Amino acid sequence: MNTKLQSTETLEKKLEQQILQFEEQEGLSNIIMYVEGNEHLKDFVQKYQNEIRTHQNEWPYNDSFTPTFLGLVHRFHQTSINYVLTATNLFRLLKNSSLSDLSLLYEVAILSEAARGREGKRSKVGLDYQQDILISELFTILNNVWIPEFGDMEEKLNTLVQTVLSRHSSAAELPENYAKYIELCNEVVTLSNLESIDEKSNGLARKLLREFCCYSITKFNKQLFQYREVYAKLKYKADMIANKRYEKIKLTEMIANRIESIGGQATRFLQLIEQIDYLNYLNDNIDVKYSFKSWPGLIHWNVFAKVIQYTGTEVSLSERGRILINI
Amino acid sequence: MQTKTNLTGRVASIGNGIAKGIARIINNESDLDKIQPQDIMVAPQTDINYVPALELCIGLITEQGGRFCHAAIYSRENNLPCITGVEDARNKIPDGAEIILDTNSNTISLVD
Repeated sequence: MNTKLQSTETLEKKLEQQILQFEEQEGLSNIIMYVEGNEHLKDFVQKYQNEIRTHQNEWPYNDSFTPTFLGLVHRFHQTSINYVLTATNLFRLLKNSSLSDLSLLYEVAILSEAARGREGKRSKVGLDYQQDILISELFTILNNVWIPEFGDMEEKLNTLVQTVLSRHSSAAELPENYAKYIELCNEVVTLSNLESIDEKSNGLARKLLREFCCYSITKFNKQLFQYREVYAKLKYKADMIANKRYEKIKLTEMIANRIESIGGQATRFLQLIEQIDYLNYLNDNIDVKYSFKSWPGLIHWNVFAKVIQYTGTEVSLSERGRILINI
Repeated sequence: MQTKTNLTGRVASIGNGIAKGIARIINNESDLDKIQPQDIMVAPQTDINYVPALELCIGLITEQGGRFCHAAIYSRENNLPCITGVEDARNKIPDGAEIILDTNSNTISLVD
C-alpha cells in the first residue's frame, strides 16, 4: 500500500510540474490577465456541473467492467494528467481560435471531460462509487465487532472516513495556508506586487492562486478578506483538526484490537481505512486543485460556453458536436 | 417568537445543536459576497469555493446532498450545524430573515 501512496504523491508532483512549466511558458501575468477578464469565472463550477449532468448525455466511455480500487487509482492518475494537459493546450488554442476550429476544440474538450467524468461522482465505476463500496464493507466489519462502550457507531464511522483527517486534505490545507499567509505577509495582491509578495510569503501567494483561486487575483484577495475576519478561528481550527486526527488514530487502534480480541484479522479493516483515506486524498486534494472545479475546469468550460452560444442550451453534448460540424 | 416551518431534511452535522442567525440565500458563487459573519447560509449545494464564506457562517442549509456531500463533510469537520436535502429551501426561507436552525430536532424556524 505504501507504494500506491507514494505514487499519489508523485502524481501531485507531476501535476504541479506540468502546471509550473505551463506558467513558465505562457507567463504568469498572461494567465492571470486571461482569467481576470473571463466572464465565466464566477459561476463556471455550477454551470459545468449542470451541463454534464443534464440532457441525458451519452458519454463516449466504457463503464461496463467491474471496478477495483487499484484499477481506479491507475485510471485516475492518467486522467488527471491528461485533463490538465488538455486545459493547457486549450488555453493556447482558445486565444487564437476561429469558429471553424471550434468543433475540433469541442471534441478535444468533450473527450477530456468524458475521461475525467468516468472517474467522477456519477460514474458507475468512479471514485465515489468505489468509496461507497469500501465504506459499506467497513460498515459491515464495524457492525460485527461493535460494542456499546465504543459509542455511537454512525458517528464513529464518520470520524473514520472524514476527508479532513486524510493526508493533505485541501479542506484543511486551504485555511491553513491562508493563516500562514496572513502571518507572513497579509498583503493584498496585485499584478505588479505579485513577485515580491510571493517571495515574502515563501511562495504561498502563487500556490494559493494556482490551486484555489483559478489564478484570479480578485478571488485571492476576496478570500484573504474573508480569512482575515476569521483569523482567530483558524488557529483553533488547526488544533481541532489535530485533535480529530489523533482521535481517528486511537479509534482505529481500538477497533483493530477488538477485531483481534475476538479471533479475527484486523488486516482488511486497516487496509480499508488506508484505501478510504487514499480515495479521500484523490477526491479532496487532486480533484480540488486540478480538476473541473479549478483552473483546468474553467478552461474546459470556456470551450463549452462558446459552443453553447452557437447551439443553444437545450441540446445534449453529443448533439452540440453534430450541430457545430454543420455550421 | 418562533414559527416552526415544515422544513426538514437530513441532519448532516449537529454542531452546536442550535444556530440563530440571518438566512442568506446563495443561489451560486456570485452571491457569496452577501455572506456576513454569523449568517446561516442557504444554498443548493456547496463546494470548495464556498469554504472561505462558510468560515463566517454559524449554520448551513442545503437543498441537495446526502451524507457524503461537500456540505455534510465540511460541516461535520467544522462542527457547524447543517441540514442537507431541504427541498426548495431557497424559496421557502426569505432572504435576510432571522431563523433558528435546530439540528437536535431537525427543524428550521422563522423568528417573528
